[in-house]
Amino acid sequence: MSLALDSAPPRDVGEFRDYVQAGGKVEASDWMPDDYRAGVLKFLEMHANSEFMGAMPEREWIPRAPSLKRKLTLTAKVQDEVGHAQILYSLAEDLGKPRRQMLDDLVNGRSKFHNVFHYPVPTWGDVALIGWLVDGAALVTQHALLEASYAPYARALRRICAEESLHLKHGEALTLELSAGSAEQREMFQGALNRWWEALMHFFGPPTDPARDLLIQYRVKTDDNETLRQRFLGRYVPRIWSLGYTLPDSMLRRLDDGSWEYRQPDWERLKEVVTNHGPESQKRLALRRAFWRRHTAVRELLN
Amino acid sequence: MRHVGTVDAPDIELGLTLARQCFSRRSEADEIWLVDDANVRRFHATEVAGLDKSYREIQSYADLGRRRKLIEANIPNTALSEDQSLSSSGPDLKA
Repeated sequence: MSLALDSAPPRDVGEFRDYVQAGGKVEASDWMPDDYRAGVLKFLEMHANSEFMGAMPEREWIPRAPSLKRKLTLTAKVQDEVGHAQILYSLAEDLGKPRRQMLDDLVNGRSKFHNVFHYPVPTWGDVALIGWLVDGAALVTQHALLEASYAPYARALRRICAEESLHLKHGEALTLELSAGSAEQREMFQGALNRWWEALMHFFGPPTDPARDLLIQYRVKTDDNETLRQRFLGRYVPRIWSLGYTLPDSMLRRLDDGSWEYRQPDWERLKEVVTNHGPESQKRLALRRAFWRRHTAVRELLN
Repeated sequence: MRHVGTVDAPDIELGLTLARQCFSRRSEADEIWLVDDANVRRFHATEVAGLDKSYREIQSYADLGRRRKLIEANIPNTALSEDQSLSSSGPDLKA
């Protein structure tokens, strides 16, 4: 038996689409249609940006964590998130956009990161909620990406999902601790739920038509936005309710067919937030920008 | 991927031939990766005594289901007795 080359994607847009839809994988050095490359690159860049900016709200609580153990765990979580950003920027760079350009675009507000990282974190209850529900939402999305046709991303996601699962467990532990605590602790978590519910409903994006979603056509994403949101609701709303909390949507309920009905979020508001007009967007970008500028000399030295 | 052995060869092409002969006679490998020994750096994990990093381990969160059930069973009365208190972030987490 000779060590033949791995089967590579066909060099024709139509055949390529059939190849990936049948489960074929694509490596960084394979031929790929221009819109596949551009679409995957943009997706990776947004994911990397989100991990990088996502570390910031958590970071704010490291000096304020209520115990040493929580401080250490939060620090470990921030380390993991920045590590994910490193991995994802590397993957994006392999598709043709220099890392320096991506970071420059990010800190100067030219690119995007996920809505949930544009919001303030005023209480420890918010930290618990982020670890449980925001990471829970992210895991719903990332788990669905494990079958992505772009193989380097699928491989990286195995590690990323494993570490995110740990963050989720920690978030759940914090939530349970508050939920079994004093009335004040429970009210704190309830307050966080009231403040974060819109952002969580926004997280998966507005319902879209899978036939017109390029990344679904190319089997990078396997599920559309509404499917993912329904999965999140089915997994977490019963648990939130059974802990005795309420959610600020009187229309939220499970229908007989198992699907969830809810009040449509304000999708214009989501657009505002992800174009860097959220409550904390400018402040966090400014901090990143300050570090970016301060380290210019180091970058030039390494160039 | 695992390390299966070493071959002695003057260049990578002969190294590949020898590796296939020695380690893939029955097509055991889908892929063979060869690295010149000069390019391999070996590192050994070191034990640091006294540093508890259990918060990085999934096992230390194994009791979440049990804790949740206890809380749900106590709703709406959440005033738990000393024995049942789950508020500490100490030994409870390692159950």
